[in-house]
Amino acid sequence: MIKKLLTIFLITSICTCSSISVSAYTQQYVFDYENALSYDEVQELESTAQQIENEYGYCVMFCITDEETDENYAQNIYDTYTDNENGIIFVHDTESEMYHYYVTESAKSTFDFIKMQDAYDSNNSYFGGIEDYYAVAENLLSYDNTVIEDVNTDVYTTGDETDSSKNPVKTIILCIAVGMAMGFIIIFAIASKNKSVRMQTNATVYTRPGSFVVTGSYDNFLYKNLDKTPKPKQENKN
Amino acid sequence: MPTIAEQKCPCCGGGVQFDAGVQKLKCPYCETEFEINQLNQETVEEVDSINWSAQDNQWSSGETDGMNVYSCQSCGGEIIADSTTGASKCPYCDNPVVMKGQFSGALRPDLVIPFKLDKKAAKEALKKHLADKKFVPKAFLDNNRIEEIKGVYVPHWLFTCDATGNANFKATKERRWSDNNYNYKETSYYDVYRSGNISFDNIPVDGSTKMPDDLMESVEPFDLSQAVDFNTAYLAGYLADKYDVTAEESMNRANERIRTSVGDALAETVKGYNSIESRIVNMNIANGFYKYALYPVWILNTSWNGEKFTFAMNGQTGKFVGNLPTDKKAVVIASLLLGAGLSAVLCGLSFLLGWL
Repeated sequence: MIKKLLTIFLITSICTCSSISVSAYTQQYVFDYENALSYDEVQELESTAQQIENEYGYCVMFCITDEETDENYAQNIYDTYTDNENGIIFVHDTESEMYHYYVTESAKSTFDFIKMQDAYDSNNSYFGGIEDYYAVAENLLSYDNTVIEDVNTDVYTTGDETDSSKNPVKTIILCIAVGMAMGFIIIFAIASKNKSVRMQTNATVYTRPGSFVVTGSYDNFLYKNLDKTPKPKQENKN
Repeated sequence: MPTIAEQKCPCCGGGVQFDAGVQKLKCPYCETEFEINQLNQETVEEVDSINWSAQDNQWSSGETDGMNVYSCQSCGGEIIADSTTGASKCPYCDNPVVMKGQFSGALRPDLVIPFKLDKKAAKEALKKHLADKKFVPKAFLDNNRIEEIKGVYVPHWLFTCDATGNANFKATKERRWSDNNYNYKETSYYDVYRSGNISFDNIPVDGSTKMPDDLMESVEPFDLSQAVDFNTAYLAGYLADKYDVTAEESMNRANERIRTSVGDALAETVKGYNSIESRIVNMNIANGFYKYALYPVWILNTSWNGEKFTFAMNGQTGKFVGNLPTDKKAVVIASLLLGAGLSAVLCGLSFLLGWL
């Protein structure tokens, strides 16, 4: 029994860890729909963007495309490829030579879009321009981070407010509740194997092989419902 | 008139039994083996039994209802069996006897699956069954003494048919997206219809009220390709019952299982939806017919704390089933311990991920 429990525990832990690591490595930041960049260049830019997100928590994306686009296109790519609520995406539409961007509500005060566009424009190559775009983004973030740290220090020393996004007691209670629930479910699942007598629910095992033929079918659309729920407001640390 | 047949060894006169290991009749005294048909032709004889209640007036009126009285061919002892018993043993000389009248004429089974596994295999399977299970009270395991092991040929009705079915499903598709302020969920509802044909072969339904239906269905499936034409010689050494649930009465159970299977098969063709809810399943059956067969099952009985526990093993495949008592205290303690361990791990992970 101990062997089985240990196996279940190890599998749970491995799944949790691997899901975290997998989600970290599948993030895409650079979208080159015009093939303006080489594979190595894309990898280098991806690495820079990854580093920025790891260090500052902001997702900075870039997209080159030869389609005609608008702000919605930018937002659509951002929402599709990341769940990070802090970030920006810059779209260069080479067809109409237009720039579009989308920046999340919480990151609006962090990024200076004009500065980032200028950095991209001032370089003659796509790769160099995007590199400069990321460099400016990082500068802005490092400045912003300094301000946040200063603010946090002040808050900590005065003791008037605390960071409400982290609530250790709540997290511990949640961990205990989830752990206990998992423990009961696993043990009850093992104990339920003591009951092996039950009626069969169907006769599928007695189906003549290859005898099943679908003779008629239709799928009729009836109606649709749209549920719209407000997103929880994230506290602005600034 | 109830008649009785005994398989006698032509060498020593002892009662022979069907040996699952060699799939032949074998004399337990001189160990001579015989082919099924060989001994059957040479030694089976029919003898009228005596209706004691009528002749000797030893039974009061109604006392022998549902009961048959036979006379043992070896020792002359009286064998009293209920009206469905088809094979048993003499309580005096232990010779196997087959009540031929229970399997003659319309009552004759079409098929029989001979025992492939013997009593020893049933005991081993029980040991394995007990060893595999957790949270069984230690006292049950320590004091567990099987009170009875018997090989029983259980009467089954086998239903074969072509089924035509149609089903309506309520299905939904979901689409989710969000913008800066809202999360959206769009649910589209569909009326889905499917119809189809499907055929079933030899769906077994327990034809004996003595055997619990859930126990018999739990040891399924049996491999009917190994079934042979019925011969009373296969019953020697085992218990056997004739059916006391008719084919007509058993059809409802077969229909119930067929209906579920038709619904399941049609539901599997409904793809591309997030949820499917079956609303109506209609079914028609054509070309249906049934057969009567005897299936081999080992039954093991024990009791503990005044409660009776019955285990069953498929005498052909070895599939073993049987409910076991559960130590509730041990379950609660183990749940708390595992829960505490998992909670600690989750707290540790939360700390590593910076959530604490």
